[in-house]
Amino acid sequence: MATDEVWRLQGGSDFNEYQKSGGSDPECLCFQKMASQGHYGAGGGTKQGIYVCTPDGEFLASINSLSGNAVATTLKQAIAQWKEKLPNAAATPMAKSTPTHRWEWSYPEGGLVLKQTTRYLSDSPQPLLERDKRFNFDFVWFNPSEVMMFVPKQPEMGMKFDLPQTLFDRFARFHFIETAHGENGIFHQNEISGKLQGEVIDLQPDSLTIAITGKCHSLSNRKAYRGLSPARQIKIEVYGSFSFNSSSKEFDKFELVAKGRIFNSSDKVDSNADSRSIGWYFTVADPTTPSERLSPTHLHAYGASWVKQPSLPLYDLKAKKPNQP
Amino acid sequence: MTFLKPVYISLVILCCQLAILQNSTLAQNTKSITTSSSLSATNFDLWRSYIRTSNNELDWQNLPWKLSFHEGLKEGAKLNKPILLWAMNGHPLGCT
Repeated sequence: MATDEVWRLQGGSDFNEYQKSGGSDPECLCFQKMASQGHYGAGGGTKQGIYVCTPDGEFLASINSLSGNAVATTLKQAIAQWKEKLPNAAATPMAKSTPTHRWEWSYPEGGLVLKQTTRYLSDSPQPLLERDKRFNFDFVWFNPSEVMMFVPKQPEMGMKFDLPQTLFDRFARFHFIETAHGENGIFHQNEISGKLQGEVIDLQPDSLTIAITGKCHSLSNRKAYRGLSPARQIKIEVYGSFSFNSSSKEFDKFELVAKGRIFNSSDKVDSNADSRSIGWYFTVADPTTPSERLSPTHLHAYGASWVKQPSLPLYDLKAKKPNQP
Repeated sequence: MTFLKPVYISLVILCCQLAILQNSTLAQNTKSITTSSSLSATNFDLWRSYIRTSNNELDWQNLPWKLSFHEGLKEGAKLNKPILLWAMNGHPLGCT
């Protein structure tokens, strides 16, 4: 059983354009060949879904459905196909699918990796008693030199300071976004305002604890790009703390909660009408758990020099309509 | 030692009363907090518990997923089995 991110596998909006532009990642080409026989066919557009194939990449069956019964039927069909194809003795060879680029290869060893949970908050009179079921994950990456930006060079007990804009921007542009119900667009630099502030609340010879507070206000009137547009307006407050070991240069603990409202208009708002509540929780990801080493959704846009970009940036390729020749 | 029995019983009763008091205080705090309440040290734990996932929300993640199509093909070849690939916009184990 495998999971993977389909936008990269399918070569962006249209795999035909990907291949014409010189796209040659074996993992992506293997997927595209297999998926072109699936439920969305060989045209452009999304190839999201559940696929079953042989180890050499031969298509068996596929579906994109929320119905458990429909998926089960498809899987049974796939197993029946497999049994027909299964050679008596020889094992099926593996398809040539070694990738030439994966975003996970930029994992910031020695840096800070946070696991993000985003969830809508209930706007009932007692929201904490009514948990909204819609949530989503993401990851936030900071490399080792960005990690040192969290800590003042000469900390003193009670010291208050503004965290560098780079850190605020990372959260505000790419992570304080409305993803509770699904992927969403990011904010541009000129669409965010606010800051994160720190206060040294504990200081030991080899460690310090810093409380974080902050506010963020994001506004956007842009049209959707790749089907994603950010929320029109988000107002957020932030609260949390972290403990940093100055000997090992590692975070012993990092917890941050951000809470705010999403407005359907980018106009100045004086009330909570036409809006809803949302929250984010960040904590240190487990580096030994493979799934917690997945890349942030918008890593491609971080603009950080330590992020290795693919030879063919998918977002620069022309998007065609589905089934357009 | 029978003389300790009343002391033990008193301690148990005291602990139960403290637990009830703590739960009622927590319940009172929980009820009084709305989405308009500012984040603070007094409500941080409550919002954290609300936002982060519970174990039963993540049962599906406990299946032995390989994290890429390539890794799935490798495993399938090793075991000589077909591969089920779940592909979404956004990695299914990340942001989708």
